[in-house]
Amino acid sequence: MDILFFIIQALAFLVPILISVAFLTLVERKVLGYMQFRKGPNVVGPYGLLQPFADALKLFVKETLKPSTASPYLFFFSPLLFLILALVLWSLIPIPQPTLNVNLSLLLVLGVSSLAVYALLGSGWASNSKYSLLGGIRAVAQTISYEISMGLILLSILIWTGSFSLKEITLSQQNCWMLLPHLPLLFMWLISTLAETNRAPFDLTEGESELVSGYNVEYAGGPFALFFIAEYANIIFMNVLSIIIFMGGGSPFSTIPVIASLIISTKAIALVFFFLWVRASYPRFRYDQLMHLTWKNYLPLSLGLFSLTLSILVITNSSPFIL
Amino acid sequence: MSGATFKQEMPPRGGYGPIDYKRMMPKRGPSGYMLFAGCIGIMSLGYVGLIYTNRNRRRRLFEEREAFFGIMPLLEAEWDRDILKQLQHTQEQEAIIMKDVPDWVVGQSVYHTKRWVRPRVEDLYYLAKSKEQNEAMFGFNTFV
Repeated sequence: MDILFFIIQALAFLVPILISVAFLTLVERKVLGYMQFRKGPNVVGPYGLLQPFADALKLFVKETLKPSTASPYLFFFSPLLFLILALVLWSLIPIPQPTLNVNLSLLLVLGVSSLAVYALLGSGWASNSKYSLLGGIRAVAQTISYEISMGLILLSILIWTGSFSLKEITLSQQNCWMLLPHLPLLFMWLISTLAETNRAPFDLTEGESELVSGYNVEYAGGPFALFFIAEYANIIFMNVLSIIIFMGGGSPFSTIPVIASLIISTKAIALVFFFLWVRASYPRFRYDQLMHLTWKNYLPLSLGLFSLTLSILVITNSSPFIL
Repeated sequence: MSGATFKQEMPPRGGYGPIDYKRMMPKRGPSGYMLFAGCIGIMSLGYVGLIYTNRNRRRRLFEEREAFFGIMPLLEAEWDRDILKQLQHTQEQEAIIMKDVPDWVVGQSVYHTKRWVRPRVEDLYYLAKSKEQNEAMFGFNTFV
């Protein structure tokens, strides 16, 4: 009975994520289609609604290929690790109650999302192909670099919320969203999330003209589907995280359970649409520009803004703690 | 003859004028200074809100802490009562289990001191069922 209960709970946690990922792929193709004056997928099912399921079915039915010189264990372990990390992250997000109530949940989110680097590196190296190796190295360098500026941006928020718990961060924004006082940080954060999830215009890891498809060139069928699902789950996750950190989560109704969830998802849809819009609008960055953006612009700027916001906190004596 | 009438075609005096090749875009949107000022305005508004919120939060936290201090003796008494109850239960079990061992002192302190040491949760529940033990140690956790 306990095991049955466990399975039901696990499914209730996982299936919504997977369904949202499935529909995100459809939404992306539709939005990109209409932005380029074409219709996008509209054949499978009404309005093409069954397209993602047909795609998933095709991918999982296809033969799982492995290059003969690839390292077998790492080759199949990396996509699994990527997907597992992407799903584990979701348990920490308060929508409006987290599944896993941890006091230092934001720190855990940062740590677990950094671990995804190993999946990228592993898949890039284990494929034993120069394209996937270069793609993996690029992805890892980019992700690590942008994580530093993201951490510094979060530091400015954290000294005002006074807690690492995402729940507490949401609750501290009931009167005033964090996006108002930290407006420049919000722009930097949004661009960093684009880079962190390896999305256009920062998708140098899969530069088609140079690297064919990046770290997942050699993957086909099931493992490729795992990579794909994990990437899109990460995109939705990052957007929900930005909403919880900067746009007050479910505020103005963050204490009313169902309405708060609806508000969070509405805001998340808006941000996901922003991601797609950016992809439709901007050309790809050059790699040195990408690195200069984080190391020479965002790092000094976020440090400077951190000292500004810290001095305002001290001058106005408005720390959230009783000192 | 013909050489005298020929005139070499030359550029005008002072060279040709600049070629008009630049794309002429109309100026759109507010100027940089306006954006800067607007950003600072929004930020200061936000900071006012945030300062107000944080001071309010601190006041509420203070009140909560005072309330906790107020009922602290009661809570302590409840905890002590729970501990003693569980300790008595464990020692009864211990006496039954160890009745065949000569000079076994039931409930003897493992610490080298005469003072009362509050037993750890593991010491209180080591004879209980593992489910009960886990519940006592980790609270009412459910999976997923």
